[in-house]
Order: sequence, then structure tokens, then C-alpha cells
Amino acid sequence: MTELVWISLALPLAGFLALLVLGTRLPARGAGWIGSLVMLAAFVAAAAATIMLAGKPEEQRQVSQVAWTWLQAGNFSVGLDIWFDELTAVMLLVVTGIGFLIHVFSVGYMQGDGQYRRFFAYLNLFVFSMLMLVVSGNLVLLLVGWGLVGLSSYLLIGFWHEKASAVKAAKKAFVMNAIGDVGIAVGAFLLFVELGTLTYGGMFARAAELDTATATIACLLLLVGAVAKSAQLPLHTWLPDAMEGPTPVSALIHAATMVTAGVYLIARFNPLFAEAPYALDTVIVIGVLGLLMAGAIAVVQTDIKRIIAFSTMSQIAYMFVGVGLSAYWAGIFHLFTHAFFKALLFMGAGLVIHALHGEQDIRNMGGLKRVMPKTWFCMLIGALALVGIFPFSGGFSKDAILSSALHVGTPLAWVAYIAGLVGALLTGIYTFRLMFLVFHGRMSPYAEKVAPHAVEHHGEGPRTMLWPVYILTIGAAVTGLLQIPGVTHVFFDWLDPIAPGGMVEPSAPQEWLTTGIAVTLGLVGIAIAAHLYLRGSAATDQIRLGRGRLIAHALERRVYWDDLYEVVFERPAAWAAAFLRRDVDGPAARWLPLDGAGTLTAFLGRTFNVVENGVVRSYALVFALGVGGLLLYLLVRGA
Amino acid sequence: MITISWLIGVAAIVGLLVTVLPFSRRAGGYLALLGSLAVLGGVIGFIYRFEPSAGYQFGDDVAWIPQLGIRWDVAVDGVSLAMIAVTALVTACAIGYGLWAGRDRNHATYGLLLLTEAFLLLVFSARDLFAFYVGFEGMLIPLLILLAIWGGAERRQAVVQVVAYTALGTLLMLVGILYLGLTAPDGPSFAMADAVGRGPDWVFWVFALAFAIKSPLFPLHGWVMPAYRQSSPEVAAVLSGIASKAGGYAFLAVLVPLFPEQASRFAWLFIALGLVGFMWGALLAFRQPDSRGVIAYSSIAQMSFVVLGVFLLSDLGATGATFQMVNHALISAALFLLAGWAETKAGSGAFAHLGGLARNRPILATVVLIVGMAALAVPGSSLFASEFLILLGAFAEAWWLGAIAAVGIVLAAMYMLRWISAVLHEREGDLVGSLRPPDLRSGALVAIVPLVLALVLLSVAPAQLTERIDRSAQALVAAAEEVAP
Repeated sequence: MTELVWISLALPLAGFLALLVLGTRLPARGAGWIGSLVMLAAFVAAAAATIMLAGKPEEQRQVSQVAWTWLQAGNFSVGLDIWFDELTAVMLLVVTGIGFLIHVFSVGYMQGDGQYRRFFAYLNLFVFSMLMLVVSGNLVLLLVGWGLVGLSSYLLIGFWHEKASAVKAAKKAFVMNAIGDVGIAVGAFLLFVELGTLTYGGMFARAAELDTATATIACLLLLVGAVAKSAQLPLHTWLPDAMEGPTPVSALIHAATMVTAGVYLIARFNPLFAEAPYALDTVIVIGVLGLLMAGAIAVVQTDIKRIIAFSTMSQIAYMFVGVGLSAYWAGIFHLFTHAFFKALLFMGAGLVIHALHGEQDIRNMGGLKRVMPKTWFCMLIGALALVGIFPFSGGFSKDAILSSALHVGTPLAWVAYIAGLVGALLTGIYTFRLMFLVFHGRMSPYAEKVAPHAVEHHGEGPRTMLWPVYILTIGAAVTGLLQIPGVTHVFFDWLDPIAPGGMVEPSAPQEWLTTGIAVTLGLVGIAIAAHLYLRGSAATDQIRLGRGRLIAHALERRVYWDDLYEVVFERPAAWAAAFLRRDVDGPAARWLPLDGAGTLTAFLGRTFNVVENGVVRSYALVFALGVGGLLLYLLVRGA
Repeated sequence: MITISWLIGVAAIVGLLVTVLPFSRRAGGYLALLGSLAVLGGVIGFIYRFEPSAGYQFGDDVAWIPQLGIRWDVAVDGVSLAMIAVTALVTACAIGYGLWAGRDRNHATYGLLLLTEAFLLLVFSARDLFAFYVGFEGMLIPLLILLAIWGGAERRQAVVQVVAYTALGTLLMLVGILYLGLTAPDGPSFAMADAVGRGPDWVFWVFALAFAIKSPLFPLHGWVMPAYRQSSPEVAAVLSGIASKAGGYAFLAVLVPLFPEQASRFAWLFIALGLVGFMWGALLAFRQPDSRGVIAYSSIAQMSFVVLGVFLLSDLGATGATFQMVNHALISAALFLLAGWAETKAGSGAFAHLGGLARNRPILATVVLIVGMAALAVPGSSLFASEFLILLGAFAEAWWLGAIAAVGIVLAAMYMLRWISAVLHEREGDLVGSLRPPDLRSGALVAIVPLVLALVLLSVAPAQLTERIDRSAQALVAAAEEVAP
């Protein structure tokens, strides 16, 4: 069984290396299919491993294995080891499964791009890194995966590196994630000093020995990493910019897998978080603020991918609320369904962008339902799942989180409950604003000119692009049925053993009540969107909500976070660096030696009749004379 | 059995012959390359034969100048082994690069590089203070000649700077060494073992000064910029890659074990300088207008980190610092060869003229990316592993120290990402079109790839190196660690 996990991990790496080495010797399409087949094989291996895991009795479902010692010094030692349990299995299946579909989608989407092979090499590298993150059996190796997904995300955001904006976005994503890496690294130092081990088995067994303060600090440090990677407040500003990358990248990395790593991290470290209630409360607060803010910002954005990006941030904030409430299964369940419907929405957006020759502004869309009915239908399912309309998947998982809040019932949980319901309303508005402005109403002049023509020629997209979308549509429609309140418990039962401290599970009536309220609010949101955007043309002033008003301005500027960071960090750092370079380091380096010993040496150089290399010669001479003289003196004295 | 003396001898003799005899460029170059490869082969043998628990190995100890108690006492422990290995590899690559990529090199340049290697091997293996001094001081002579004759337009100024700084340090150190040697209780002896714990504070300080200049440690890094800017690429690679390691190594293997009490007493100062230097170098690297500037200041930052690791006076810190030196040697050598390649081909290294190199240059882009990512210590890289050890050691010493130093990870990401983008991405510079051949080709590539491969191997299994370093590093700091309150 562990062999299969290793194979699943090694395959994308092998694919990456093969594409790197073979390079231009491969035909372009061949590179795409190698990348995709490797993913299919990895998925099959992961699925087989999961089935074998499910066949074991519950108490034997945590398997670990060490390949070799990776790093060792003194009493510190960390191995290249894997940890395979129920949570790993879920992540493994999501990453390889959705990853495979997105690879196939990319075969069509990236066709004609001159850098086709490089793209698939990077995609495989990403999947390897992500698998490393989820199968790692200790915190250091998790950090390695954590950093490598950041690296591949950097490479893929900046894939079109001729574009200055793409390069800038890639750097921004990397640096903000490096801040997260530092958080995890320092957390690892603390845990090693306190517990003497960084393996999951060792840490979790001894988690109870930590006092609350230490556990809280350690968890907050891990949370810094989680927040950066999952684009949550206050380290979220890189995600919307990351949409500069190709759309399949947004679907894979910035929707389905990498950005949910923060949720995985908190769920994985639940034995530690169980010792740190304040840290869990912080997780909830971050989630509440993030889901409201991102949902509100999504309502006023005009770039189709950025709308979905803010939606992703908002949905991950829901997951944070879930794991923060100790309803780890609900958070991971939402991660699971979200992977389907969000990847679907991104890929649908990709189809639209593809048909419009790269246009991403929804003001240049409109009325596309007529020419792209398949895309419209699939995205509609995705949108309904996102809003959480019964019986599509997102509703079950989101309501599981919210009803857990209801079940916990503390003041903070009540705040989360109400915020989550308001968030459902916002989700309805921004999701269907997008649907209506893109697919309904009158076509914009640009779409009129391009879209019918493009669709006539290529259809809505090549089969490699459409089939993955169909499969995801089915997933977005039905995965929620795994966990129907009062009927099925597949997800809860599967994940229950990962939390030794137990998980929050709401009762069926609580869940159905929440579903009722949430679906109603979602429908109200859709109605508001219909009222605002479904009438007539998609004119600019209608798209913006209350133009010129303070709140709208704040939302359009994304609540000024970017501006804040520029004033507080970027400008002072640039100024300090420039100042040191111009006025301190440069002059000091010239001044110091030349006024002191430098003058002496230069003088010596001149007296020894300097030619080009006179200084060296004189230096060597001084050196030799000095040593020789001293030796002579000592010899004479010693003799 | 082959001992370290053999390797020093091969490097010195071949180096001297190639320098002095009137070889052709090609003949001299290949002879020197052969010599450096022979040394590398010997070192690989050492790596296999090395016994981590056996202390000093592959050594010779014979009377050299018996009247003064000066002995040719050389031997290799784990820390030395790491430094010797990286010295042999970088030298071979530098000679190969000069031979294949530099069309205008004189045969003597190869010989001088080999002579530098011989002196460096002596530094890294000397167990006698006088022999150590000969290596430490002697390596500067071939390097200065290389800089003075084959350097850039402002080489004279650079030579003056280097001499001014180093002469200051090393001549004082010589006085210190003579003092220690002549005051030995049983007649004059320069053996390091006889000098342990005997030195007064002033000797500690003159040693520290010499090593700090060489490292270079803030604020004594003034010679670095002109020297690294004016050298030809392969000399810059040797200077920043391995010559500067003499300083870091000497802190760990000479200063700390010989002066355990002072090292422990003044550790705070070196830790503070390491921290400041790290931030200083990183900030300055962030605003440099060309590759050499970025590499030079990032080197200052990295070596400051090494000094920080050494003066933690702990097992983790010392092992991490040694490992860090190996990583930095490989990275800065590779960076200088890469940057130097583009710069000498195009005629300028300024980012303004030389950007957007990724277009149609898949090999260059791949190598630059790998080395760049290794240099910013992306998790999983060997530099990450060594920084992790140092930072963990710092955290174990004092939590705030580890936390502050960890911020460096972000700074390193900032300046290296800027460098990668400035070289590879966005608009193509106006001189890019003049690159011939347009992409990295066999010659320069063959010289750079071994460095990259070494980095990759160390990233896959860093424990292979650290388990060889660990015990020796521990032994070097043990006495100072015990003194610590």
C-alpha cells in the first residue's frame, strides 16, 4: 500500500524530469499527453492505495514509512517519510484526480502556445510538490512541499514572462508565501525544541505535554503559513494578481489544490490545535472576516477570473471557519466539493476566454448562452453548487460548516453562523452577477464580433477541454450526496479517526434548518442579481454597484490592502536599500581603507616603482620580506 | 595511501609548472585541468574512505623547520573534508570555464588558479599555525596577480582595496601566531593543539580581525565589491566561492577551538554582526544594478549567516555553518560563471542592457532558475537544509534570535527573485541580440553543470554530507560550548 503512495508521488516527478530532459525533442502534443498520462497513473495508484486503506480496520489506518534520513545533525534528524491516513487519502485523490482532468484540459487550452512543453513540465512539478505536501510524514518535509508548491506556483503565474504584470504577480505570490514559510519554519523550531521530534506520530502523541501558551504560539505560527498559502487575511493580496497565469493554472493551483493547503494544515495538526483553543478562535475570526470581505469584493470586480478568485478566497474562509470550529470533516468536505465546482467554474471561464481570444473583462461579454450553450449549462451547475442550492454539492458542505457553528453555540460560533449566512447571500449575488453578465442579456460589441465566429470554427472548445468540464460538472452536482444530513455519513465516518480529540458533528435537524435558511438567502441573492443585471444591456454603470460611493470605491480598491502594504513595506524597504547603497555602504567602503592602510600600501606601491601590477608585486615582496626577516631573526635567536 | 599532502603537492607542482613554463593556451589549460581533476579524484576517494568517528585522517606530520618547532602537520576532519571537496570541485569548474568559455586567457591564469587551490587546501587541512598562515596569506598572491593582470578596467583600484584590507588583517595575525608559537611551554611549537586556550585577548582579536576581513563580515566587507566586480568570471567564482570560505572555516576550526573562553565571552558580538551583516547584505543586494552586485552582496549576507552559525557554539550551528559554506561555495561559483558568461559575451552586465534572456534560451533559463532557486533557499534545496540547521540552532539558543534571523528567508527571496526576473524576464535588453552563441553551449555548460548537479545531490540527501561533518563540528565547538554559562 505504501508502495502505491510512493509511486503516486514519484510519477509526476518522473514526468517533470522527462519533460525537462527531453525538452524540444518531443513533439508538442506528446508533452501534453505524457504529462496527462503520468497524472492518470498517479490517480490510479492513489485510488488503489485508498481502497486498500479502506479495507483495513480503523485503528490500522495510519501508516508511515521512512525512505532515508534526509537531514541530520546532533540530536536533530528528519527523514524522507510518508504518512498515509484517511486525510492524506482524500487530499491525494483530489490532487491527482482533479489534476489529471486539468492536465487534459490544458492539452487543448495551451495548444499553439510556443512554450507548451515547459507548461506541462511545470504542471507536473506542481503536482509532485503538492503530493509531497500532503503525504509528508513530518513538519520539515511538509515545509519542503509547502515551499515547492510556492515555487511551481511562481513559475506558472509568471509563465508568460514577457508580460511585466505576470512577472510582478509571480514575485508577489512568492514573497508573500515566503512569509508563510517563515511562520511554519519558526513553528517547527519551537515544536522541535519543546517536543524533540517533528514527525507527525511523535508530535501528536506528545501534544498534550505542551502548555497552552506554547501550543497557542506554535499553532499561530503554523497559521501564518496557512493564511499565506490559502490567501486569507491579511496575506491574501497575491491571489487576485495570480490570475495573470494561464487559466488551467488558476483552476488547479488557485482553486482546487494549493490554496486549500492551509485548511489541510490545520486539519492535519488538529491534535495540536486541540491544545490551543485561542488559536482555533483566531482561525474562525480570520475565516469570518475573510468570507465577508472577499464576497463583497467579488460583487464589484469586472475581470471574470478575479471574481472567481475572490470567490475562492471567500470559500476557503468558510473552510477555515469549519476547521476552526473543530468540525474538521466539514472543512475538508467543503475543500473536496469546492475542488470540483471551483475547478469547473475556472475551466468554464477558460472556455469563455478561449472563445473570446483572451478577453477577461465581463463588460466585453454578455449573451454568450446563445453561442455557448454547453459551457453555460456546465457553469450553471457549478454556480448553483457554489451558491449552495439544494441538491448541488456546495450546499451540503457549506451547510455542514454552518450547522456545526450552530451546534457549538458559543458567541463566536453564532457570529460565524450569521456571517456565513450573509456570505451565502453575497455568494448568490456575485455568482449570478457573473452568470447573467456573461451569458445573458445583450451581447457586447466585442463579443458580437468575436464569439459567434470563433464558436462556428472550433465549436465551444476541443474535446480535450470539454470532457474534463463535463466530468467536473457531474462531480459538482453529486459529490454532496456523500453526506446527506440524517441519511449518509460517508465523509464524516471516513475522517472521524484523524481527530483523536473528536470532531463536532451537528444533528440532522440543525443541518436541515441551516440548509433551509442558506438556500433561501442564496435564492434571494440570485434574485437581487437578476434584478440588477438581467435587464437589457450590460452597461458599465450597471455593473458597478453604486458608483462613486465610498463603500464601492473601497471594494473596487480591494479594501486598500495593496495600497497599505505598498506604503508600509514596499516603499520604506526600497528607500532604505537605495539609501544604504548610495549614501552609506558605497562611500564607506571607499573611504575606510584608503584613508588608513590603503594610503600606506599605495605609498609602498609607488616607492617600488609601480607598473600595472606594482601593488601586487610590492605586496608579495612585503609579505616575503616580512616572513623571511622574522624567520631569520628567529633562526638566529633559536640557534 | 594518498594523504592530503599529495593533493596539495599535485596542485602546487602542476600549478607552478603551468604558470612558469611557456605552454600554449590549450596545453597549459588542459594540463591544469588534468591537475585539478586529479585533486578532485583524490578528494572523492577521501569522501568514500572517511570515517566520521575517527577524527583527523589522511594526514602527515613531519618536521618542517625543526629549529622553530614548525611542522608540516596536515590532516582532514569532517569539516575540512567538506571544504576540501568543494574547493576541488569549484577549482576544476573554474579552470574548465576559463579554458572553454574564455578565449583570451593566458596559460598562466590556469596555473595561478591551481596554485590558489594548493594554498586553500593547506588552509583547510593545516594543524600547524604556521602552515595555516602560509596558506591563508599565500593564496592571496596568485589571486591578486590574476586580478591585477587579467581583471577589468578598474582593476588597479580593486587590487589596492584588497591589499589594504587584507594586509591590515593578516600581518597582525602573523604577530599573533608568532606570539603563540614562541610562548609555547615546551619550547617553540606552532601546533594548534599546543595553542588551545593559551592565547590572551589581543591574539584572539587579531585572529578574529583577519578572519572577519576574509569572510567578509560586516562592516569589513569594503574590498568585496571592487574585487568581485573587476575579476574575470572564473576568478570571481574562486574568490567568492572558496577563497572567502577560508575566513568562515578559520572562525570555526581555528578561532573557536583555540580560544574557547574568548569565543564564548564575545560570541554575542559576532552573532550581532552576523545578523546585521545578513540584513545589510540582503538590503543592498536588492538594489544592485547588475548581476555581480547582487551576487556580491548576497555573498556577504550568506557568509554573515555562516558566522552567526559558528558563534552559536552549538552542534547544530557548527554543522549548519559548514554545510552553509559548502552550499554557498557552489551557488556563488555557479552564479558568477553564469553572470560572467552573459556579461563577457554581451559586453555589459547591467540589467538595463541584459534582460529577457529566457526567450529562446531554454538551457540558460533552466540553469539560471535552478541556481537562483537554490540561492534563495527554496524549501527542499540544500541551502534550505543548512539554513534550517543554523536557524534551529539559533532558536534553541534564544527564540527571538531564531525568529529575527528567519526573516532573512523573506529578504533572500526578494533579492533573488528580482535577480532572476531582471536576467530572464520581461523586456529584452538591447545587448541581448549580440550574444554569440545565443544559448549556453557545451563549453561553459560543462563547467557549470557539475556545480548544479552537486547542489541537486545535496538537496536530495543532505544527510550524506551532514553525517560526515557532524562529529567534527561538534568537537570543534565542544570546548567553547562548555565554557558558556
